[in-house]
Amino acid sequence: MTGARTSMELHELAVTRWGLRALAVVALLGLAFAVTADGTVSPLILPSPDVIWDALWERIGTAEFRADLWRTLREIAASSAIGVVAGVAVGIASWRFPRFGAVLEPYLAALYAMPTIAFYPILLAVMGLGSGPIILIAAVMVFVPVVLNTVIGLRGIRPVLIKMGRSVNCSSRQLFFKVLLPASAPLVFPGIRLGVMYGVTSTIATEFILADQGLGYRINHDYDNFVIPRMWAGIVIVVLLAMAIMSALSLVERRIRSDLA
Amino acid sequence: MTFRAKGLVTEAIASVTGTIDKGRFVSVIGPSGCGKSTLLDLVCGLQRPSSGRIVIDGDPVTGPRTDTAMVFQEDSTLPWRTVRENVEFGLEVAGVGKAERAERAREMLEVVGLAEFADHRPRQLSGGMKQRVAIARALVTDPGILLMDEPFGALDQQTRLLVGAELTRIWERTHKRVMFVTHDIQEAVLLSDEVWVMSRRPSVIKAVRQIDLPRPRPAEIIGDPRFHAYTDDLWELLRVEVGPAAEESAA
Repeated sequence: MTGARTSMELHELAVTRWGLRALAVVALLGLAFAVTADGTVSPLILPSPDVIWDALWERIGTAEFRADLWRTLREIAASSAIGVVAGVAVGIASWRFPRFGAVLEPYLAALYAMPTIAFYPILLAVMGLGSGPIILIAAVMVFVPVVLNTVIGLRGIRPVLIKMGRSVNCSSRQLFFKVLLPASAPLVFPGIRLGVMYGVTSTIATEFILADQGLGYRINHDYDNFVIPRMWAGIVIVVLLAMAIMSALSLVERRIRSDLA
Repeated sequence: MTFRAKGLVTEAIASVTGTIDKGRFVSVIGPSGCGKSTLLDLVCGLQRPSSGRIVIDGDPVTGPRTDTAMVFQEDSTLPWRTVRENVEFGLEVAGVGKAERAERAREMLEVVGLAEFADHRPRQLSGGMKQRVAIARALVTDPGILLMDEPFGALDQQTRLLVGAELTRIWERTHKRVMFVTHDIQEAVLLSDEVWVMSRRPSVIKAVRQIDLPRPRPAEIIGDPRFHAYTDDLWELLRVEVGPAAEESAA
């Protein structure tokens, strides 16, 4: 028997962890208050947290915010869905057909290294100013780490597990959902998390460059118009959104591999 | 069950012909690399013979089927499932309802002596216990034939004897047809009604020996002179396949 922790010990660990996380936020806020109160940092760069707080509340109430949020969420959801589904599918294909994988891999690496965002102006010209080019670029960002991790995850499965699955007469669907997916999850999920994070960053960044709506667009717009407290409110919203997305992904991951939680 | 498998793609097996009657425990021994495991894969339907056929109760084997179940040498438990969920796996795949699954898994965990570990994860178990989970997973679907590919090969000698004695006890209760691959002569004699000796590649079954030792057979039987007679005889058959003479003629 390996030393399994009791649920009580785990509970205590979780409490400590959340306590430390809260402490970090409090410390950061304290620092922000300190440097803004005595004028060390100009309010044109960082306003006092309570000013940002007011701007945040004011912003959240507006129809404009809801439209921005909705636009950005849709872009993130669409690019994540496309990138994850295509990435897992291509990952399975290059695992199942190693020759295809061998041909594909150098191009994937190139795609990874290349600043995809450089294509944005061309895409804008071709697809127009809307969600299309933003989703496309973000989907590529999601796609690459998902493919790479899916291939590595599937290759790492012990062959005996697949043999066992086949020996009890699993259909290929059952083999995928009951053996391949959970067995490769410890590597596939970090790929999805990484990919979705890249996708979020890419979405906000492309909106930043040129868009007519969206959370990223609004941050840049407020910056250009010197509405600094509202710009900071926008940044806070993006950070909270990213954290919410990551938590949601962790929840799904824990459902599939409860033993790793 | 009867089968004839000839000239596999891997050329592992030249020609193997044999029959296993209902309720018999048959061990297959042979030098390593002689295709013992391939033979099991063929019977399980995981591989197809390049010629010849395998027939179970009149039906030719064309792929994995519900009346055969396999226990592997390596740990085949799924780490993300609890012990009970691992045992239920084959039933779940076959579409058996939740309540019946739970009930049958519980019974089978009693049989292999792991009832109190039902909610544990495999990583909390020892190697011997994991193999008992695999045996329960294989037996729970009530297969006609249990195929075992060196199931105790990764265990240490002591655990091996104990889990082996456990297997005889389970077998004496269920009386499945068993095809048991091993390279351990003692283990083969201890467990079997019949031992098949395979030659080196290209393999044939060069001898079949009946083991007429009384059952139940406790582990102490390995001290019995009759036990020694069987192991000596089998060793003599196997020695020419693995010794220097065998390597010379192969070269």
